[in-house]
Amino acid sequence: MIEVQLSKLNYQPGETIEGKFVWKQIGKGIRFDIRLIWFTEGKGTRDHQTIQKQLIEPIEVDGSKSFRFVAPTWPHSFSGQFISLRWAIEAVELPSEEATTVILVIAPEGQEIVLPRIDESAKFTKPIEGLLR
Amino acid sequence: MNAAKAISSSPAKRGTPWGCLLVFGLIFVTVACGGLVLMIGMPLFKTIQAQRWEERTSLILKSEVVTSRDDDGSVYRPEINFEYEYQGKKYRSSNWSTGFASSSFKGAAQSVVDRFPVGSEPPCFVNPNDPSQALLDRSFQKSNLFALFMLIFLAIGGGLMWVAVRGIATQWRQKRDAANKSAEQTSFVSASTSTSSSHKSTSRIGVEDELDGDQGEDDGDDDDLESGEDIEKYEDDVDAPWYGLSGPQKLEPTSKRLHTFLGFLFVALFWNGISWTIFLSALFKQDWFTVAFLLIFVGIGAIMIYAAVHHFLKLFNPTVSVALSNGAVCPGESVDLAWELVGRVSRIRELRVTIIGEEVVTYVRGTNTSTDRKIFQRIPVASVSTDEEKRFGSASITIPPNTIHSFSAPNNKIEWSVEVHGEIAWWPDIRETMRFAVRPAAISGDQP
Amino acid sequence: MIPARDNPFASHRVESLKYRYPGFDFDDAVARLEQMQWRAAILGPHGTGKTTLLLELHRYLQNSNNDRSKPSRIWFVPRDRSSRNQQWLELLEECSPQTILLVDGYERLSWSKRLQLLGLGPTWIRQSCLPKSIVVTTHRPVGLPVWIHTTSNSTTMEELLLELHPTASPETIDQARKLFTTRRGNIRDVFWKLYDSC
Repeated sequence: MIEVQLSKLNYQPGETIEGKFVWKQIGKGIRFDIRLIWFTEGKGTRDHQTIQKQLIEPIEVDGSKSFRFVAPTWPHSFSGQFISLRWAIEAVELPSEEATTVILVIAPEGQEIVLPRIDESAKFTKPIEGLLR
Repeated sequence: MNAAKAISSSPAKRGTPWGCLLVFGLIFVTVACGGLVLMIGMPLFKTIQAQRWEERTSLILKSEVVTSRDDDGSVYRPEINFEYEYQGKKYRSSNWSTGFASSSFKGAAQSVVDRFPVGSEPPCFVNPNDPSQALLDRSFQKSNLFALFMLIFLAIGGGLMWVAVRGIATQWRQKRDAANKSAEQTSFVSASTSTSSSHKSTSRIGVEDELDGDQGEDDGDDDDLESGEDIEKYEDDVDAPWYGLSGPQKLEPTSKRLHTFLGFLFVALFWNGISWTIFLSALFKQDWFTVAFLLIFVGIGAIMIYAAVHHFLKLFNPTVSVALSNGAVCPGESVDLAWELVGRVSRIRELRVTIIGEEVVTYVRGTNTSTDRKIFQRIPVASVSTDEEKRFGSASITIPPNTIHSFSAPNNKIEWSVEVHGEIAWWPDIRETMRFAVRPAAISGDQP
Repeated sequence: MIPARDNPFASHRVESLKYRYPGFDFDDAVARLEQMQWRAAILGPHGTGKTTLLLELHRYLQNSNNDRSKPSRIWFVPRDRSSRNQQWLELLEECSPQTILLVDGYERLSWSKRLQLLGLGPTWIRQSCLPKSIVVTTHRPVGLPVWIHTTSNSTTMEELLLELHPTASPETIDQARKLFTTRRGNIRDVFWKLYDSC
């Protein structure tokens, strides 16, 4: 059994992400990669990227280890109609590559940016008064 | 928390085969040049040579229209055999002219036969260097000009090659720039991997001070992260769209009018060149079934010509320039936008300037690729109708604070652009889109 | 508005669907593939489950819990030539003759690469390190025996639709049926279009 414990799930860019990786009753020779990743979900083919990672090679059958990453300045977590960009901590078991994933939010104010859905039929309205000069 | 296959381990999918396009273009150019040389160049050369040949009297021995049939219908050819004498020696020839031997029109062959009836004695022209060569008609045959249709293929081939060479050059420049950028970045980025393109290059850094010491909440068996332990950091596979864009920027249109027109022209010429050749051939053979079938293709060709004409007319529209006081603006920040139109702006009924934010996605599966776009932000900037305002104007706009910065991954993108739309009565509208970058807060435009 | 991540027809959900066809048994199919000495093609029109089946085969071969697990490598042939060539070189590095190579988008490969993968052509272009076992997805015969000929039908499409979107309205199902006809049985296209309706 493996578990990723985080003190919180919402982060601002530049903030430190601290957590603990806990394992119990794991087999011999198994290693874990703790990865800070972003990935996309939605209409398009998934893009993803590992930003930072840390390799853990357990010696004991049971144990835990702390990890710390710095939340990157971009890209921010957001969700629109076609794309959702999400951050996650992945604990990847090697060599099987089975992963335990914890979803995070990395964005200003620690809140996912939600893109508005606009009515495309109303394509143009007059500009705000005083905008033109 | 859920357990599944690691996202970061899965392969991701991602061009243009410029080399293939170049070869394709080269084939077109070679075939077209070969055809032009064979059907116009060589007959023309022989015509010029024959002007110095000596005139003799000939005797027409045979003159008839020969019909041959194949799958495509009947082909007619005038067969003229004549006899002539040069320096006391008799010769026979069947090459009456430098023109095409065969035609789908019987009338053309029949007129030649009528011109040279059996037993008549028309003048012939004999090559003094090789008296076995003689012609009854040494003028350039207009029928040879039919081969000028090859110019269409030459234009298409040339166009394809031009596009391909530009593509190769751009690709080469991008590779060189990427290599330079990569070399620059090694000084501050420790390691790199692109999960989405599956190219890897890793080097490790030690994280010392920031990872030192115990974690307060850890228990006894906790195997803490120690000084010097390896964390791998990854260089961006995803380019920062705002890189180098801070400060005033003149925006470039996403597509150039001339390029768009040439693109449509080439496609229209290619399509129409082929479909009209087959169509006319079927029409002359009075193969009505094929004619009816090909009408669909000719119709599509007509739409393509319309599109090409439409884009040609657009070339005469006023040119649009847009500049921003900052080419890499943050959400919540204001930026000054100025536009300038050069040309007959009085033709424009109304000019609208809009800021647009779009989600752009590509879905790749097997050999199939689909792309779709969705607008999530539309900020009206200006709507002007006086000539003075149309010619030059500026406005201050604020990018909404809770919006997303520009983003470009292989299959998922957030694009910000300025759209300029000018309505012109009875003429194609002006519609220019120019990209700019919205950067995340607290990142300077020169930082990736 | 449904956020993209929650859209039932989001690409990651569609791609996680299992290949299904009436009477299809994966173990039997793999046994047949073994008899074919792991040299075969999955043949079928667009959107009938070729990539899905290939991914499933990859998962099956990687699952150490089954006794047929084998070293395998899946290759999604990229669209652009430079990535293709780069990944080809990586493939030559990573694979051994014992690896089972699963190729999605085989028709994107040049003739020389195809010949190399098939172990044909002059000796000077053959790569000794290339896998001897190869399973590819293709729309037309490519000189490999056909392992499975994928097809689609409306019933399968509806089953998959309800798996993705259990609360789909009758109108959505009706729209899907119409799309299935207009898209000539391309289930992938049906879901791509249905994405916007949510």
